[in-house]
Amino acid sequence: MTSDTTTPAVDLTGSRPRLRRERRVRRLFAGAAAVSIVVSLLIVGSLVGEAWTFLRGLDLSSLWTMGWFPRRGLFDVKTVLTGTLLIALVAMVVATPLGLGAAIYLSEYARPRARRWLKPILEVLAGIPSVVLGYFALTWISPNIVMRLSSHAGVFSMAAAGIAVGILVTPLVASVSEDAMRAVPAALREASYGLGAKKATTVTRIVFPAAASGIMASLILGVSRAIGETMVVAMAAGAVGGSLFQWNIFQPGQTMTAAMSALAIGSDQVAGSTSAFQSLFFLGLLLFLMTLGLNLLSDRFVRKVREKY
Amino acid sequence: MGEDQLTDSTTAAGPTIATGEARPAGRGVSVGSALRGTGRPAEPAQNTIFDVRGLRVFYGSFQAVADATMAIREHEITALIGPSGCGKTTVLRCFNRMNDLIDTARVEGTILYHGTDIYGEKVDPVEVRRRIGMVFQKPNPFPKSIYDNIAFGPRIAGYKGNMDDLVEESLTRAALWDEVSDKLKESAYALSGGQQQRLCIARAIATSPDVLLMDEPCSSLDPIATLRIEELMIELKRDYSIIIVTHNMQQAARVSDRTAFFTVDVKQTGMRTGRLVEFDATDAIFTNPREKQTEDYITGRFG
Amino acid sequence: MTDEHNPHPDLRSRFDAELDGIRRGAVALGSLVLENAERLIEALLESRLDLAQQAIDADDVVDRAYIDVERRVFRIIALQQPVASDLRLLISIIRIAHEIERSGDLVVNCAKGILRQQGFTLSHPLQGLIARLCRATVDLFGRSIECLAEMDHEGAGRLDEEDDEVDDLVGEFYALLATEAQKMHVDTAIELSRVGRYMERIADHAVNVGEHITFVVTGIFPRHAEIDED
Repeated sequence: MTSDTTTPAVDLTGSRPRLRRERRVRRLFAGAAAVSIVVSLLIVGSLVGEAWTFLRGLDLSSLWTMGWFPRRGLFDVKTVLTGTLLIALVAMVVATPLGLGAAIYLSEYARPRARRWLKPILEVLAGIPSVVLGYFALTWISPNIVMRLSSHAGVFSMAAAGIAVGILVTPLVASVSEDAMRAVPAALREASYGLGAKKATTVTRIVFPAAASGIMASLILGVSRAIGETMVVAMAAGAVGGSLFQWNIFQPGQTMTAAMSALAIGSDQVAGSTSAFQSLFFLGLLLFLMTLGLNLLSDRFVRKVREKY
Repeated sequence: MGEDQLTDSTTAAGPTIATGEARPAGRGVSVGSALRGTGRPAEPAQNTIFDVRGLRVFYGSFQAVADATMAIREHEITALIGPSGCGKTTVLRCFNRMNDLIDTARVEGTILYHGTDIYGEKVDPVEVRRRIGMVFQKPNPFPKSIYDNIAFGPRIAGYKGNMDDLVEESLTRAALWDEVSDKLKESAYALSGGQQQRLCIARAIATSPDVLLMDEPCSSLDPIATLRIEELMIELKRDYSIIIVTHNMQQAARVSDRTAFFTVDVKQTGMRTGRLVEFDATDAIFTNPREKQTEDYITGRFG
Repeated sequence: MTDEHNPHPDLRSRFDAELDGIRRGAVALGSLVLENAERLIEALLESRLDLAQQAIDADDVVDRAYIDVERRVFRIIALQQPVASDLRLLISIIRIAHEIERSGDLVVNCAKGILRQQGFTLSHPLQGLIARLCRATVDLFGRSIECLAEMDHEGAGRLDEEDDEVDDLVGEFYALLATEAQKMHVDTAIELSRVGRYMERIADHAVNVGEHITFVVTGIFPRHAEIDED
């Protein structure tokens, strides 16, 4: 079709080099995303493979015995599972009030000047290496708190480790729930004050419920972190090598993570295809599935928050 | 052109704020002698609900409002208009002590509400806000059900009566009952913008205030929703006294009985301070204002 | 207009231009009628039937100009929601235009009278008096249009006094007419008395125009203020 106008038609096709550059950049980012997916799949794959081998070659009755003694072929899952859950429980008992309290204070009560030095302190807490916390658990938490609460407690206990993990998790809970609370629009607070609500009423009946999803997400993340903590529990929970099934938090106990690290760095090497080695993978898979499940759960909560605003 | 001075208005007898007794919804007593102004037909004087004297507002060292003195009448709609930065929203928020929420805000002067200075020493701002309701620029219902939104105010004030009836009455007065009566338990966010704003009005009414402060209540709504809210305001002034801030002059002309025009003075230091220029019956302001600044603003030649 | 209260002289300049255009349209309308009135005076005093006919034909132009002014006022009120002095100006323009248009009709009526009588042959004193009456009336009308052009409300206030002069002249004219009536044909006398009446009414219209101008500038309608003071 020939045009008989004197002015040329407008060229909207865009410059070739720019389009090529855009395509390259897009591929670069897609590649980065692909790498993370691949890595995750590799992790899962390696765990599943060896875990399956472990389970197949196993006398299933050894999964329900008196304790976790891998070098003796005793793989009582409920011991390590209980240990993990107890530590997580103690940690959350510590982290929930401290974390939420700090978050409420920072979000609703603190003046800008106070926030300016309080937040960095929380961040310092978050940055403490877990080995240092483990040491702190043994040298301070244990004698000053745990042993005072229970006369039977020794230096090593799940309580001491749990408290230390709680301190570790507090900044995470505080940070995420503070973000959730600050995300509540100021307009809602204004509406509440406008109706004659006191500050505490506004915080508890408007801000907190509105931020509930985000706060729940922070708690779930906290639990997930507590479950995955290795160093502190390896040092302070006190069960090197193996342990008996234990309910009492004032006694030493064994968590999945500590069990894995004990197996991997134990004095007698566990390398090779012995079931002890393979039990590592089994625990690892369990751990992975638990934290995956928790993270998916917390994600659903976070998405609920985003829907509202 | 005389200004109607309310020197001989009588205020309705009523309990003081400090004791916090319950007040029936906006039933003021209109007593008054007819005033005769020059060139104006005689108007019956109405009671003053807010007597503002020498109101000055500062944010830190910055003066937002310079010396405003005015008397707001009961059962009227008073509009505050003016260009941006003239302090009209700041002044509005003084009436229910919302400026207290801002750290650096400082309010001087007096605002007498039924004869009591709401900035007096013993006065609890929470009590003030229960009697003086506020509706904001953007509808801000709580992320709760429609029912719970309305019930919130009465609940925290310790209301012991029949909540269902109170919710229905509030929604009816806000011209929203028919549209939501079958979905009270649904989220307030399911409503349209105009409905949400009426919900906010119902929510404010539920605590039985006698004053409604409205900060540009229609600025985020479409013209039909705006019109409905304007009609609602005119109905509501039977039971409430309404003060509205609006940057839409035609709206002020349509709904208000009296209009206050604020302007912004810019000093050499660059500080912008709001100042009350003229306060008069709306029809006077829009047909023959006394001050040239007022005329310039409403004819669109300034601001 | 630039002053410290109006830091934005460009704001509403199109609107101001439109307002001014409407006002000048009303002034132009007045000028058309004024022109016609001058034609009428010449037609009357020189018995120029052609000019009388021209005056009648020219009324079409006047009517069209009037309709145009009205239309423009309606449009700007509907679209711009003017208030205060702008509103007063526009309402007054409609009224003023109406007064002018009525005056134009009265000029036409006089012209028709001249045509019916095939011109007036008048005695010297009567001729002189009617010339003074018409001159005073048309000058008064002309001044009211000038006041409109300048928005001069002080001048507009003085129109009332000048109208008194016209009223006196009308009185004189009727007195003289009464004495001379027997010497002329009955129809002629009736026609001449009509001319007198028309002139009086044109003068009244001019005074009304002045009052509307006062209203625009001060916001007070002189007649209403008198009622209020009772």
